[in-house]
Amino acid sequence: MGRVALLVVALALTACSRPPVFLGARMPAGCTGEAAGSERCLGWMIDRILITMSFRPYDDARIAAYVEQVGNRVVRASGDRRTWTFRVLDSTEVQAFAGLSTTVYVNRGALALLRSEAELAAVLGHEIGHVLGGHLKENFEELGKDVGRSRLAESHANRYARDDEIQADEVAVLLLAKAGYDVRAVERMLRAFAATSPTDGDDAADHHPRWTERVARVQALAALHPGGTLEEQRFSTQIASLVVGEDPRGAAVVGAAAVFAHARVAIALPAFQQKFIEQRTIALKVDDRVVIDLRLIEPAIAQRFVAPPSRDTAYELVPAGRQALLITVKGPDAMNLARQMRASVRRPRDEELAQLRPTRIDLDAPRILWLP
Amino acid sequence: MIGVADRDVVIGSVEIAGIDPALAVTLRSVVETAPGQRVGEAPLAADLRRLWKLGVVADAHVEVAGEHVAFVVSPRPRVGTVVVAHADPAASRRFRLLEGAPFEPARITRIAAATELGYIRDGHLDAEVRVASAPRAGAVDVCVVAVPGPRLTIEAVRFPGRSRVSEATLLGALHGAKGGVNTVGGVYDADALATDEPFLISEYFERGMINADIGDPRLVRHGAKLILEIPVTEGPVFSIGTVSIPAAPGFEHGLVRGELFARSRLADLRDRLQQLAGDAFVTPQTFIDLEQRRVDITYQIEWRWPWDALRSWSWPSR
Repeated sequence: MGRVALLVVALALTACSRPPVFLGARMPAGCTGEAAGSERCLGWMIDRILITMSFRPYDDARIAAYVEQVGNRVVRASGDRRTWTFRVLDSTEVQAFAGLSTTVYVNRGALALLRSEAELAAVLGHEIGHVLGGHLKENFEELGKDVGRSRLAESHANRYARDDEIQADEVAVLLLAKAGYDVRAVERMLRAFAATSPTDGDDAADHHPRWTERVARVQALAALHPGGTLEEQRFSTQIASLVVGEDPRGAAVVGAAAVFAHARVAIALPAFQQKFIEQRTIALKVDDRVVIDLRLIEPAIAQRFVAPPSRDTAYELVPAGRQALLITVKGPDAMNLARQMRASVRRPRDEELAQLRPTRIDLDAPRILWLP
Repeated sequence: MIGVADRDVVIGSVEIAGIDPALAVTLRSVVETAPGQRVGEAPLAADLRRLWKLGVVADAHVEVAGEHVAFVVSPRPRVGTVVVAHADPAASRRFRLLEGAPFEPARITRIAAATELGYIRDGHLDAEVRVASAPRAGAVDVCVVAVPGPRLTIEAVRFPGRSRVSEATLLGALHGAKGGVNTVGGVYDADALATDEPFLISEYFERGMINADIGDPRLVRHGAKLILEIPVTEGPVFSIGTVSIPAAPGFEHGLVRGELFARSRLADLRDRLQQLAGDAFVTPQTFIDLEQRRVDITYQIEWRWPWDALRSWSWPSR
């Protein structure tokens, strides 16, 4: 389970007393007053924080719908009648995690490691297991207390957290069996994830048991649930458009322009010495004195990024579809350069877009599976 | 486990028997006994412990037949029905999710302990979560009974023995007030309070009471209300004695003999010296005169040869 959710809980908790608009979106019905502190409302707020400030939902409606469909099939097998949300995030990191309430997140980097629908169900089933077991609720409650803990208490908490991971794996196996999937997919999913980890050490601070233990436990349970299907063909059809690695359509430098193809915006660049590109951000070192940062952000949080302009720092905010392009220039005459750049904002040209070819998943390529 | 006569046998093959073949491959990977080794009790026992540690076997033993070594393991039975009584919905769900999972008594006991701890940290100080199990054909039924008991809240926090530091100051040193922990109207959390002891002591160190001591907290119950007593032994107030910095005798340290000893002022001076000294070690050493209630302080600066030693030439005092 990712730890990023823990970073945002403080923000979420302090937001309890705010008006019923949160980060540019209206709070769900019933989330006012004291009810805003309920698991459902906090879960919604944390989701809002994650998708506006930390992650960007992956822009592929077909894959999103498919993941939602598989997730709901697993949830139905559990008998849980709540409404669940399954989000695919535009991150190359091999990671999936659960929110406080009934929201499950899976990065496209994790999807790229899978080879069957049953393995996808295994990833989602593990996170569903954390939610059903109430594992995250306790962590959030503990964080809200703002107290210190002795090393002994931390050691106990770590052991309990490992038990939670074991339970989430078990729930994944049991739910896959009920949903009609081949439960051996849980083991293969674990092996695929383990292959991306550098070690299988006995780290006392790690909340996860060793891969050997997880695989052994899953195998022991899987032996009791033969049968089921992997649905490899359906997976390969539905997931075929998945982009692996960095997606140049998020942000790229083409010739003398920065092109944000997904947001349908481009901007002329001055000559520069160095560039750094990550997802929706382009940072340029023009020379020893001037640095430019271009990033797509949610309009609802734009003000959080913009400090009062100073003599050597200037900001310009340009609408870019549903998002906003924030231009930050640092250096002498920053204001003029920022204004010039803003004036150069345009739609990307066809020849620029033609150069942005993302790498699609190759499901026939060999995959590394971890062996104990 | 094995006879003395077996000890000179060179192992020809190793097998994991009695379990699903896929699992056997994984279990084999943790076993260090290998062909070519001599049979020995200690290495085999260590391997049994490794197998046991994985949590998937109910029993394991070694059978040596000639050159063949077999680790014979039994899979765990499944958890059958889980009955949970009196637990809150979240705890109930967690236990019920065990249905169909391997029956692992130690883990179930830990889950019960974690659930109990959750109740206790929520103010149910008498909470108990009991687990019983009963085997039936191919499975083990589990019964969990939670007895949370009353939720006790704090009516007052007192510091017996306190006189020189205000109650508000000491209350301010306790964490968790916003989260309703160790505060009036909140719940008692022993572990959180234990981690706050240095913060309480720090308030006394700031006011010259360098021998102050915080005793074990006591709880006085009135029905569902608690009075939390944190005993304090304040001790005498100490003042600053001599202050010396042998490496920089002329340094304007700003501490005056006879002034109240305050930890933060000593720390500030240490930080100032450290800033000037770079990577050198700056260590305040205190000499306590119990009779005069005075603390003499020497700041030792240990230069790191050779680079930082050169800095000593550029010190303000030289």
